[in-house]
Amino acid sequence: MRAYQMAACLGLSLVLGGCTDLDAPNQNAGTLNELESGTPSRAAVNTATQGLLAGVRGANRALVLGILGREAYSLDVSNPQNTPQFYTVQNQLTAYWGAYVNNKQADIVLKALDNVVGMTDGEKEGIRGFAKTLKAYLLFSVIRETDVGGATLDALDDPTDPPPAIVSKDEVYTQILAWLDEAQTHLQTSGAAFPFTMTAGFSSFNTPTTFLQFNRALRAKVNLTWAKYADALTDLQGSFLDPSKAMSFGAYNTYSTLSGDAQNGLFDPTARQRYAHGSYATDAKLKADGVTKDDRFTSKIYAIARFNRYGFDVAWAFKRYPSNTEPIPVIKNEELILIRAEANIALGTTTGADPRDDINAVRTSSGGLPAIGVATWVLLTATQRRDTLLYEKRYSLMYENGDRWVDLRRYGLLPRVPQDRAGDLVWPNLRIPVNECVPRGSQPAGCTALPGLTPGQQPPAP
Amino acid sequence: MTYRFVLSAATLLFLGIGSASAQTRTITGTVTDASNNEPVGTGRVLVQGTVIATTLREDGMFSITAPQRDVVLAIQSVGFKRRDVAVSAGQSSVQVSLQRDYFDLEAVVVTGQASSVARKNLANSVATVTAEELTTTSTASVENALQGKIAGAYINQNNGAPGGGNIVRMRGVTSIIGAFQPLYVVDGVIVSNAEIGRGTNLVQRAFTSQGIVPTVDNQDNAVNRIADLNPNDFENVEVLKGAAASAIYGSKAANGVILITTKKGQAGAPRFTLMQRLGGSKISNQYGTRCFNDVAEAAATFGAQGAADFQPGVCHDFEDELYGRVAWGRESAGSVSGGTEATRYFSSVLVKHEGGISPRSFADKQTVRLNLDQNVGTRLRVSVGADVIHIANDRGLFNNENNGSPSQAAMSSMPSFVDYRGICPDGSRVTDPGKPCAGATYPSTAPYAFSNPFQSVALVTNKESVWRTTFIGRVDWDLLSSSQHTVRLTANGGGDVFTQKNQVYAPPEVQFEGLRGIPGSSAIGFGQSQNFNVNGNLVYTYRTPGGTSATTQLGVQYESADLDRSNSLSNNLVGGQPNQGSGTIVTVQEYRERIRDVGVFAQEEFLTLDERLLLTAGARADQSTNNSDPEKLYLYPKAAASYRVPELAWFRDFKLRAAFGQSGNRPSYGQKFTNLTGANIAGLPISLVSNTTAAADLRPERQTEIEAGLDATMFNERANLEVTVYRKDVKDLLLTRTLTPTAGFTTLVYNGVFQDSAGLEQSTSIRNRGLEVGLTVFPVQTRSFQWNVHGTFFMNRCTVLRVPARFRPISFFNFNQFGTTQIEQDSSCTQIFANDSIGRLPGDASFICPATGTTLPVGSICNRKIGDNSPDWRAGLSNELTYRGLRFYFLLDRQKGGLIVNFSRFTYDAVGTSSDQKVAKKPGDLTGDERLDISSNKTALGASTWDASYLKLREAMLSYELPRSWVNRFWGSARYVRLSLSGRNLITWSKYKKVGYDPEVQQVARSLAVESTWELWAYPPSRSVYFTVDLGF
Repeated sequence: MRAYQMAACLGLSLVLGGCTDLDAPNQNAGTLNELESGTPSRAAVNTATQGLLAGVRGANRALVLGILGREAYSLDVSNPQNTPQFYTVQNQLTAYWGAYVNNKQADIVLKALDNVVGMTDGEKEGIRGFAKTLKAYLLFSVIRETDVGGATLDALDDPTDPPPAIVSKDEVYTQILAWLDEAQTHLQTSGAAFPFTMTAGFSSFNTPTTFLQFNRALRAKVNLTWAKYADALTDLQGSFLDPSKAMSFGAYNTYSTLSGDAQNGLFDPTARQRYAHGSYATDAKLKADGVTKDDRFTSKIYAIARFNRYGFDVAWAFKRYPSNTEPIPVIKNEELILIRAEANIALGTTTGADPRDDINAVRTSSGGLPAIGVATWVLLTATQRRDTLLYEKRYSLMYENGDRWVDLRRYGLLPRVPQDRAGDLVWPNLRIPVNECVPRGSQPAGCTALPGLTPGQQPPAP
Repeated sequence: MTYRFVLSAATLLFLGIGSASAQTRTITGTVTDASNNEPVGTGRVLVQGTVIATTLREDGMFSITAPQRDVVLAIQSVGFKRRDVAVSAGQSSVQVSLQRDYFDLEAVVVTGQASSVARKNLANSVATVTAEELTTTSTASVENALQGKIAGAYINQNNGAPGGGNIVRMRGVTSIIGAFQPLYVVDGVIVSNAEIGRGTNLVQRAFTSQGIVPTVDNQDNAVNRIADLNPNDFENVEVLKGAAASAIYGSKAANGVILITTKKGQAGAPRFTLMQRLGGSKISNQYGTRCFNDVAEAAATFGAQGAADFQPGVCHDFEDELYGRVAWGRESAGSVSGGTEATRYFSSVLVKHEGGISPRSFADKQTVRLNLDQNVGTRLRVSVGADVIHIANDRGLFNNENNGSPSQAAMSSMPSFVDYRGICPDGSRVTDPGKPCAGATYPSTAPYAFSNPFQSVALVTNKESVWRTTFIGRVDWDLLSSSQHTVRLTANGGGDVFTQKNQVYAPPEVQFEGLRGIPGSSAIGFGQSQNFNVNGNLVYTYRTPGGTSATTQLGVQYESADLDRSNSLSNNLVGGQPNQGSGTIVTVQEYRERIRDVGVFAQEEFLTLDERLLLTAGARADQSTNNSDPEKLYLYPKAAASYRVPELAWFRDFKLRAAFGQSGNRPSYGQKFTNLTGANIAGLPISLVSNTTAAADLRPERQTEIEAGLDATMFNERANLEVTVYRKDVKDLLLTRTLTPTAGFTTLVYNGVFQDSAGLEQSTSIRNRGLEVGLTVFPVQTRSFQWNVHGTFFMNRCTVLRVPARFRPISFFNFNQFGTTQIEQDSSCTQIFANDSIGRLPGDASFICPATGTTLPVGSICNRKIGDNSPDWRAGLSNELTYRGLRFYFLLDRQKGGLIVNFSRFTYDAVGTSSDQKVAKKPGDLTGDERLDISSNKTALGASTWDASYLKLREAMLSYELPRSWVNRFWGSARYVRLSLSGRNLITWSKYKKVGYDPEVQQVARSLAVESTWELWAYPPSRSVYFTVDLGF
């Protein structure tokens, strides 16, 4: 601005009280207006779509659910106040926070698709299928924690609106399945390729056709968790389950050390604060030599100098994630094979494969354990078969998504987790966060703590 | 552009220079002190109704050119009452004696951008602190020099780190989440008090985002940059405490305004001052160490490893070994001032070194300043001032962490029976941790702790370097001056620019660096702040022959503030090199601010009834780019009245005053935006919608203050009493509302608008009411002995008038376990709720729990108010005794009430290393085990939170000024030679010292008023003593 303009401006201010050089746009980031108003660009919609995968990453709950299921300890000397909330008071550290923030972004993307320029209808359908699948995944990540407490279905359009109802567990599962099926329709009517780029962890699912296999795999897990075993078996047929492929084949969260990215927070090379539960060592089965333990134990856990902290006797740590960029599974072939086995055991069927074959496929290739012979298998009761299956899940999915705790709860086996300190409890679900509850006049069931269970009441799980 | 404007404005003003009228005569005179007939050394003589003025010479003489008619000379000198002397047309010389003005009632106090009134007429309570009071003791920052001296100012020194870091709050709670520190104005120019994070958190990793990537945040133990200034340059500091006084500063003034006036030159021969200080500081309180008597005790606390490491009879006091030394400091300051009638200068230099009790920490400051005043003809005065400041410091690793890096975090987990000091190649131990021998190795503290503090202090640096310059220009142009009308145009402006460079470096061999498999951290930060502001004012004064005057002022102000902070963190340093390029993992962050404000103001002052009645009315209107609508004007009116009652009983001077004003507190930069942040997943670009969104009509908070008071001078000018009461309502409060997670955003920033139960729209508002008393008494006042007593007392009560139901402010340290702020209608703004346990503390009894309404038996838990973050009251008392050249002075500072949470002690208790873990210090006190038992799951006052009351001997000084006659015998030109011994924070009496360092300790330097005060691995506070030599010649 020229000197005279400034002088004029100052002079004008005296008279009119207005100066026009009051322009200070956002210096630190873009603003939401880029997606919400006018005609968003193809690039803006694509990068926001790609951002949804960061939300999926945020839904990884290996540590919190791992502590509840006594897979892991987090004994942080910097934050000793955090220890009680896992063992003596009920935890509110649910996936609730991140899930709805990410689903809000998905909603913003879905709305932006109506106005985006430079994108074909087929490409838009691809994004819709992708976004709705991820919304379903995140809502699932909430309900598997709050369980009978229920959850809200979707993020609000206007953040200042009154909060929506907290609905029952069954209603939430119905919504998850509905989104997955809507996503399926979108993916089936989309073009051959997505307009956006997938992360390395989803590289096997980077077209609408292959992503639909991920969608179905997810649906199988949702149905299994909801005890709809027959539906789970149906879903698996459209999934990427393939015993001929590597057990590790699947969808992963990707991390890097690039600036502006996140690293794998479970990487703890010096066993600083995260430790493996000692029961992994005592429960690990022996290989054929009768001496060596399950490969899944020896490859994921190592011994450390034994010490005591806050009353916990600690001797083991994880090496499950050997670097700060190690991908964390979202869902993988190994899990799908075990889901098929579990559903078949529950139904007493052999749809797709004999559950014994599925279990053997996993325990021999992943664990290096001897296969279970037919003669042994036929003598097992349904409960024993289930426990056999749960052992495989416990070691195959160790420290990945907290499935151990969810599985024990589904079968009413939570008291089986070992008791480490007198008075410790194990919680059947996580409470809905207080900030979700407080604005509501009457408190829905999920806002009230369920009684904690006393662990160590039954013989240890196999 | 704006610079060019100033230049062109200045040029314009030069064109209007007039010349003095022709018919003149010369009046000479002598001015003396009425109490002892000695000449008054400095002062100003003005011909009433004209702009003709001159200054007094050192011998009390003056000579002035006056019109050829009867004139009235106004004679003013600091510390004396003004006197008007009639000089008839034929008289050519006068003798004038001035009465002492013990209470500075004649001193002028700024009341507008370009106007001022004498204190005796002032309608507000404005505290003034003089140069002498500011420099009694060596202080890290100017706020420290104000502690205990101003009624209404809560000033808290956050920790003992050298170099400053303070919180100032004026008259209670002015905002819940908005800015709360006052505005600083130096010679009319707003200067930055920004606090730019050092990047310490990048290494300590207390706060991380996106998994484990740390960010710069407010736990960095940063210095708020007002600490850069050199208090030796200050002529005085005026404190405007609330909207009633500060309305003229508009939407940045709600938290009070601190006006600093720097020293100016006076005509005369050059006057030099030199000051040399030498002294040191020492830790003032310690946590202590638990000694272990036998292997069983060791095993019970540290497990099998502890039993193996146990050494009978060995007990290391790690604090003593680390912080036990005396930290030396020195300060050299000098100034020269003088000039001619037309050109006056003041120039100063300061070189200061402050040692830190933590090895290798320090703070250095060097400043130079030049102030120049130039008369151009008789109608135009031009003033320029500039200073250049260099700051260098190292503050060590303190405050919150998540990798055990601060010394105390490690010490609280370390067994005292192991010697963790460095081991030299010859097998001896390092005794000075700051100066280890070459090749020292350090025992690992694993598995007990993550770092070895002896190694950390020897190898880790946390350096800061600041270069700062402020430049100030002022032009006063008397457009018109007659006996009845004067019109003055004032342009005042300047800039304040600094760059701040930080480097936090932890080499790969440091124990805590190995934890994540990417050893070595080098964090660098560059911050640049550019503030520029200019104001123009037109002041018209109309004086009637009867002495009534009306002053009209119009003004306009423009301000720009730009801040750019970039940080980069390099990890996994190849070869341990600190260069950013040598790490394999580099994280870069940048934060920018750009603020533009425009304000216009008008003010009318009416002084009448023989200068007894003053009426003022004014208003300011502001625009700011921080508001949602940058074009919208927000209006802040003010009005004030004061009346000096003529001769009332034993009162010499008795004034009643009342003032009303509004001011604002604009939103912070960027609060109005909903960010769409760019990031990536392994290089794949992504955008993320921010968790925080803002209301569409974000606007400044509005404070309305009414204050009333009386000022009285009593007992033949032996006592002066100031009593002020105020009521300060803040509405449109900026709030961060925690949304339900389902809202899709976690936080909404808005002005607290909500619907009440009747469906009516309400604005969130709070009310502060307070009482301030200042009393100055001269019990003994003889020629050789003087005793001065000055006391201040203030209390403030903040009440929430209206708030949405069940509102909880977002803040980092609101844990249910350690107390959480509960903002409820009709309750204190700063009340702290927690799960209190009943019957765990001595004297507890069963009671009715408010939450349930039932009587709970001993042993149960009740969520209830456990205390209040705000002190009940604060008071200061200073005594000054002077006998000839000998002077003794001390200042006591008292706080009653307030709360402090001690997390450091909690970690000692949790591990079992408190010195009173098993045996209480005194019968009736809790042991560490008992405290842990109570605070693990619940809070009880006295287990995790403590009363923060204290009494401090804040300042003390003994000085001796050598008799001038004696000094002049061998040094003729000496004006004074003074020797003094002074100390700061010498003694603290507080029950809190049993468990923590000091009740003033605050770990989050930018903590909100409603947040609890936390002690968390703080830099230990110290007491300091300095010997000073002052020379004047």
